[in-house]
Amino acid sequence: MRHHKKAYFIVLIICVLVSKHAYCQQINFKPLAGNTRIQVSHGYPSTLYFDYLLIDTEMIRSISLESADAAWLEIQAPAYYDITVDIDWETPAYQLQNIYDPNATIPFNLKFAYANQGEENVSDAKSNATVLPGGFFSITIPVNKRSGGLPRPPPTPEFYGHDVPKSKVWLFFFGETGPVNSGHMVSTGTYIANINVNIYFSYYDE
Amino acid sequence: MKVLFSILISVIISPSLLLQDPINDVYNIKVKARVVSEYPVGLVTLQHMSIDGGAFTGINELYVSPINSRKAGLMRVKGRPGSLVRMSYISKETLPGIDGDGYVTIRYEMSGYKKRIQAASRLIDNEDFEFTLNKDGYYYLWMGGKVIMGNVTPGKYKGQFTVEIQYI
Repeated sequence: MRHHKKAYFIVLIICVLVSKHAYCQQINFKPLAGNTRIQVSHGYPSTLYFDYLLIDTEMIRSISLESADAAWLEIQAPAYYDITVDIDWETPAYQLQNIYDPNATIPFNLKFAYANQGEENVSDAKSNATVLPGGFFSITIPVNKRSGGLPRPPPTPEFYGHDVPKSKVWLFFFGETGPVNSGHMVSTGTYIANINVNIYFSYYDE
Repeated sequence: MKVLFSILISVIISPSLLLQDPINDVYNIKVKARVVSEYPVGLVTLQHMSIDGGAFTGINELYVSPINSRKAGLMRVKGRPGSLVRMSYISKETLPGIDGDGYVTIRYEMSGYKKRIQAASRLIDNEDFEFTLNKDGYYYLWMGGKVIMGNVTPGKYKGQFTVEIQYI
């Protein structure tokens, strides 16, 4: 019995050491995407406009996912692939910045949602959208989420005369800003944020 | 033992699995807000005035009633609820023809009310007028007037209505 325990322990040690050199089974279909590009179009509105905030009050302006004022992007890409969406800030994160005084900022809570179940219009996409928890600004998602069942067979490689099936992914941007306190170098004026949305194919490779 | 093994493998390998295509596309979302020290007062046009269908009151004269006519223009003032606002406007304007040499003269008439009920609105006699915004910060203005076609030729005539509003 004692010998068995020792043997198990040795095997465990070997497993841990050997595992550094182990590889997962991953099949990279990315080369099959060929020259197909991701097509992105801005929705209307493309600017998240919060109207006005009264200084030194508790006023907060919110734009919800359901609101017609939520900004959105429509992505069209080959249905069988994964895409990665990274969001980064040109202006300070979670702030709106005075257009004349970069040191003057007001709080801004950006929220972000996506829909990838093949929705054809904005309202359907909003109904199915998944809202990311706060602080998550990078996602890798399938262009067309499988509703269940077995995985699909590998996609047909791109060749002349073959139309690669495409699907839509929708990205929504909304959130809230305020309240504004004049005690932090903040004065009246126009405040903005610029958010870059990077979209690219993901693939799994060594 | 097998379970432990597979967990160890996935933990060690998964960080290196995900690589991205270096070719990417960048799109920009802009966010904007205004910080103000006072509720801004503003005017929104809800309906444009049309002289089509105005009543002929003379050989060369049409009239659109701001109180009764469906052709009257409608504007909404928005500001701090319950505040007193002064409005002034230019009541007479000459509209030159876009295509021809003629002109049309308009003498505007305004009526106003705190609710969007045109028939309850009262005629504004002066070019300067004071009113109180309702509890939602709104006040409604209807615009009509007399259109005098003194020297008119067929064609389009286009002009503008100038109004100024401010808190008192």
